[in-house]
Parts: sequence; structure tokens; C-alpha cells
Amino acid sequence: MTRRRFLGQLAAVGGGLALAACGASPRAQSTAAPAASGSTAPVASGSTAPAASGAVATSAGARATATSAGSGPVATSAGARATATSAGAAVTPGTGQARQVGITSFMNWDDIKGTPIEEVLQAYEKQTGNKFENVPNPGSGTEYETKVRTMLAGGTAPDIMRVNDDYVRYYSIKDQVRDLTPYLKRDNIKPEDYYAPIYDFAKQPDGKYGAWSIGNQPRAIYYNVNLFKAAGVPLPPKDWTKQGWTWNDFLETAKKLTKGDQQYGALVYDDTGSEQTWAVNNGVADGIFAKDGKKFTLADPKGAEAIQWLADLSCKHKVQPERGLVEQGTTPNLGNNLFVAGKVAMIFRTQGTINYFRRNIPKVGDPGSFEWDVAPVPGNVDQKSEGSLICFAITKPAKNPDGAWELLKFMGGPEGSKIFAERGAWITAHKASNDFLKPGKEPPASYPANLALFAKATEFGTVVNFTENTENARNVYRPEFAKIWNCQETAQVVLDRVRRDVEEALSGKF
Amino acid sequence: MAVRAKAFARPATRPRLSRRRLQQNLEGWLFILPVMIGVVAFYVVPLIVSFYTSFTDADGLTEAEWVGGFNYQRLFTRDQFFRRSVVNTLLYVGGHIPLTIGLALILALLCNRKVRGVTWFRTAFFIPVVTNVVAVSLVWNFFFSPRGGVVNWFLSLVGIAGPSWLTDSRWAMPAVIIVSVWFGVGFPMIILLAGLQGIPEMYYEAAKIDGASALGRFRYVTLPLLTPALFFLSITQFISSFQVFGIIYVLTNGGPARATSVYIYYLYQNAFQNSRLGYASAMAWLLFAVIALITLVQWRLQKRWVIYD
Repeated sequence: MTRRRFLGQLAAVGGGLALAACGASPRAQSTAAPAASGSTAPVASGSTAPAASGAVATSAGARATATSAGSGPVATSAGARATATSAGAAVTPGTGQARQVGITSFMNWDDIKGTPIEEVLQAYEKQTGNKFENVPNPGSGTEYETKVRTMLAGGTAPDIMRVNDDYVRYYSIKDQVRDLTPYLKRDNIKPEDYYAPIYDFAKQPDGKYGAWSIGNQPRAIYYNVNLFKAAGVPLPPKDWTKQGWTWNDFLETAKKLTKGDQQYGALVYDDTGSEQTWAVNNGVADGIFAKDGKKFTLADPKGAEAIQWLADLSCKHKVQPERGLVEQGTTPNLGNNLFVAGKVAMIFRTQGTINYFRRNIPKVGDPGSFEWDVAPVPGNVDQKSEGSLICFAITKPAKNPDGAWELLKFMGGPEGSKIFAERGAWITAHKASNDFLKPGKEPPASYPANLALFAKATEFGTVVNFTENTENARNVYRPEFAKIWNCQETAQVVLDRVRRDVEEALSGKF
Repeated sequence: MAVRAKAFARPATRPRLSRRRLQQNLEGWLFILPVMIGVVAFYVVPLIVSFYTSFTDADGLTEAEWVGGFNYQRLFTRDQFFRRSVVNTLLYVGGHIPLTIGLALILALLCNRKVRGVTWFRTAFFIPVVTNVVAVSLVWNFFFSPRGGVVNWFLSLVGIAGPSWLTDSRWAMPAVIIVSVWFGVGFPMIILLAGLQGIPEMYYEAAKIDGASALGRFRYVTLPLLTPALFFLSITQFISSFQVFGIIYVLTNGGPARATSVYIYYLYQNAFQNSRLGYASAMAWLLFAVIALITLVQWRLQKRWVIYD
């Protein structure tokens, strides 16, 4: 009897421990955080265009009653047009009428709860009367890719999937995504309404559109204004210029902002875009891979030098947190937390990180709060920044491809783009939606004052030269970089060692 | 059972089975049919398919092409990461098995005493075995944190500055072994405990009367009579540690710098991250052959050291 009770207690303790373990993991935190942000997001929307959001609500309400009265189509188009005009965007032919296409299944790599994506999907439901079904994904990164490939091979992939921009080419060549050209033609989507580098990113050599690239998240340096002021260091430039913002200037600034292991000046080497960005800026014109997709140009001396520069920030100059502090086992993105905690003064991240910082940096007046803003990446031979393109594709096994297109069109078109742009999610491919970033206009409250820099960064964007074999090539060299980051080997030694295998993977022969 | 025994007892002169035998056979087959279908559908067929796949360049998405022995050849001739995964696996096996079985033996001996609260200890040591590997690994992930982690805090008490376990390629494998021993010691402990309790008391009494010391009793009574249990453990632990995956997947993802990329992890990466199903299948069959061979050798060697009562 007592033993049984004892075992029961033990089980309870064990269960509690397991729960505590999950609760304490940063991944769980980051998924929990968006839920709370649901309450903060509307504030921003209210401050930008209360009239617009009101109009959306009324038109949607009108539509709901109209459908019940049996006069769907007319009311729908009226509602949609009302939204489009209130959004201040030109009415594009073809987007006015919403086709009734039923339920579309949709998969993103992160939890969409509380994100602009969820907001857009909900707006889609309201304005078109169609439904979406979210296919949740527990992890991101390689785990998402693994899941996608398994689903595609098994024919169970959802109608729409998020595609990492690196792999659009791969899925197109493997014929796992549908060509969007017929849809783009049918609905008369005008390329001139969109930024060409974003819009045409997913265009394959044979002219097919393997995905719709609806936005770009350029990378920039986020900085803690308070730490700069406390150290008496001049703030970085607001414009995209090398003037006073070279690699050396950046290093000197970082040194002044470092206080032993309590505060670090910079954190740049733990972002997936740092290899390409620093290599290009050091004069490797092609970036990581050559244009023809056959050569591993990062392994060239200039590329190795760039990687070494990144590593030296922590190994030699000690102005950057050691690797163990930003990447612990399989727990990603600890660096973001360091910035939020005020322990890192400058951090290199994509525009997509804005919403994480907005949610997690304490508000003015709360303890630990600080002012933050964005600056360009430091320049050397060049001053480019790798952008991440936001791509969604209609999968080959899609059961409702027409529904998928309607949803994609909504996300990438004026309606969705307006929301994405104003939430700071990304620079949208749809040009007019970014108008609020034009000089002289204040960004929405709680966004970095220099938000318009991201529009500038898009002009100075660089993208990796992708081939169908990019992922396999990456899987060869990325793990080896740990030796560079941990100061055990030099960049050139590691790059020389993996070069042959990377190029073999690129060739696709294996 | 009785009926069956009778059937067997009958002289096997008649070449044909009687109707009754046939019917009995049929019933027997029917009873095992569900399991047979399961085994054929989920084991036999996939085995055959994977063997075939190992000679192709299958990627799961497009038509597979026959490449003959290329996959096997490449594994041996030019895959540096394959070689590293083999070395890592041997390191892991070499660390995990002696530590696990050694520790399990010590714990089993301690738990075999008639002391108050010994059941409490037995339960405590066994708990990790019934805990989820993901939860365990996540908790250890925090224990190993270079700053603020429990492990390094303990080390700092005795004046040692602990390494950053999971991000230093020299310490990641020891960290993985520590977790795997902690995680896996309970099961062999229970087996050895059962073995210990199966040793008749009279042997010890006889040894005592003959003047054997405690160490002598352990060496000449306990250890020989535990050899069947140790033999069982050596085989099962060998197979399972060659196939370690879960801990590594959650704790280190094979890193840093592939320091913990063991055989199965590398196989998984090839199959599901790099879409090289053919290559991964070849790895799987190679592993099967190696494990089968080693088990066979162990089986042969048992005559030399295993004593059945």
C-alpha cells in the first residue's frame, strides 16, 4: 500500500519534471510568446489605419448576411472591393471576385498563431468565404524539410507549403510543385505591380514559376541604442552607406561596447545569412556557390578570409559571445535572447526577427527596457545583405490546387501584402503595399524608427546561387564550421577539407 | 497441448497427414495469420525493398535507377563522413558498454542487500528507463549548459572550469555517453539483480566455510554464476548501442563538427535530409551484416566464458 503510494508520488514527480523540461525549453517559450502577442498586434493596426480595419469588418459583416440571403457573388465582390480601396491599393482586375473554392490546407514551418500570416489567413476567410486548414509543424529548419520530403513522397503534402527559398529550384526540378504560370496568366497578375527581383525569384530557367515569392526579408544590424549611449559611442549610420561603417569601424564599435563576458559588442556569426553576406562583401562576387552552381566559391581565399573575420570576432577580439552561448546543443537562436536581455549591443538578423524583438524586448517603462533600431550591415569591398525570400508553393499532391491559388493570390496580392507590410513581416513583392515606408512617413508605433532601411536593404540584396543540390552541399560543409566557430581550426583548413565533397554534392553525381 | 503431444507421438509412417492433423494445422496457421501478415507486410517486404533500394539511386521523389554496387563502393572508398561516423560509433560503443554494464553491476550488488529502503533505490535507478528519451535529453541539455548548467556548477565547486559540453567537439561525445549511461543503466541493473537473486545462498555459505573473503566470493561465486546474464546483456547492449539515435538527435544533432554523428544518425541524414534512400539502405545493410557477424562471434565465444549452472 505504502509502496504503491510511493510509486504514485514518484510518477507524479517524474511527470512534473518532464513538464518542467518542456516548459523551460526556449522553443516552447517562443511558441508560447506569439499567443500573447495577439493582444499587441491589434494596437499597431489600430494606430496605422483604424478606418481601414473598420471598413474590412463592415464589409465582411455585410457579406455574411448577404450570403445567407442567397446573393453571394455580388456581395462578395462588393465587399472585396471595399477592402481593396480602403487598403489604398489599386484595384487589380481578377482580385475583385472571390471564387468559392472550399477548404485549402496550408503549412508553414513555424507556428502561425499570433503572426501576420494567421492574420492574413483569417482575413482571407472573412473576405472570400473560403476556408483554410492549418497543418501544424512542430519544428523548423531541417526538421521541416524532412517532413516536407516525407509528405511529398507519400502524397500527403498539403495544398500550399512554405518553401525555403534555397529549395525552390530543387522541388521544381523534382517536379514536386505546380507551375503557377497558368494561374498568373488567367488572373491577369501584372508583373509591373511587383518588385521584379522578388517576383521573379521563383521563376525557373524554363520559365515556370515553381512558387510564389511574395516578400523579402533582408538582413540588417539591430542595435541597442541605450548601450551605445551608455558607452558614448556614436550611433551607426541610418542610410545604407559604408561611410563610417566599414568592417573596421564595426569592429572598433563592437570593442567599445564589450564588457568582458557580461556584455558583447556584436553577434553576427550565428545567422544563416552571414556566410553569403560577408563573403560577398569581401569580394567573392558569386557568394557561397558559383553562378553555374558547380563551384564552392566560399572556399576561395577571399571567402575563407570573410569566414575567419566572423570567427575572429569571438576567437581573437572577444567582442562576440562564444558559440556555446548562442547555440546550445540543438536549441537554436539563443542569440536573440541575449539581445533582448541587453547583453549584446548589435546583432545581425533578418527583418523577420522584428516581431520577436517587439514582443520580447520590455516595453518602455518596464524594467530592462531599451530603445532599439536597425542599421545597415558594415561594408568592405561591397555592402550587400542576403535577403530571405518568402516563398509558398502549390504542391504536386495538392487536392485543392484551385483553392491553393486563391489563397496564394490573396497572400501575395494587395489584400494580404498590405497586412504583411504594415506588420513589418517583410518587404512585400507588391510594390504599393510598401508605400508607408516612403521617406517622411513615420513607421507604426513600437517598430524601429528606421524601418524604411529594410526597403533600402532590398535594393542591396544578394541571394545565394541556388541549384537543385544546394541542400546536400550545405549539409556537407555547415556542420564542419563548428570547428571554426569554436576556434579549433582556421576557416581555410576546414574549407579546403570539405571542398571536394561539397562540389561533388553540387554536381548532383552523388 | 495434450492433443498435440499425442499427434506427435504417433509413428510417422504415413506419408500423408490425416484430416485431423490438417485441420489442426490450418487452425494453427489461422491463429498466427494476423501476426504473419504483419511480419510479412511490415518486415519482410520492406527488407526486400530496402535491399533492392541499396543498389539504386532512389530519392523517394523521382524514378530510381539501378546503380549496381556504387553505393557500397562509395561508402568504402570516398566518404570521409561515413568513416567518421564509424569511428564515432566505436567510440560510443567503447564508452557506453563497459560503463553501463560496470555501473549496472555495482548498482545491482548494492541493491541486492537487505537494507531498509532498498526498493526505493531500485525504483530510482530504473526510472530513467521508463522516461521519454526526448524529455531526458532536453533536461540534460540544460544540465550541460556551459554557464548556469548543473554539471559545470558541480565542477566549479571542486575548482574545475567545466567545458561547454555540447558545443565543444572534444566534449560532446563524453557528454552523450554520460547521458546514455544514466539513461540506460536501469535495465541491465534489473537483469543483473535478477541474476544475483537466482544464485543459491548455499554456494556463499560453502565458500564462507571454506574461508573465502568477500572479494573471493564475488570473484569465484557471484561472477561465474552471473555470466549468463552478462552474456545476454553484452549482446543486447551491443546491438542497441550500435543503433543509438534518439539521444543524439535531441542532444547534439550529430554535432558539433560531426563529433557525435554516429552510424544511425548519418544514415538518417542521408535518407531523410539528403534524400539518398539508396545510399542509406546500403548503410543499413552494411550495419546489419556487421552486427550479425559480431553477434555470431559473441555466440561462439560464449563457450569460453559463460557458465550455465
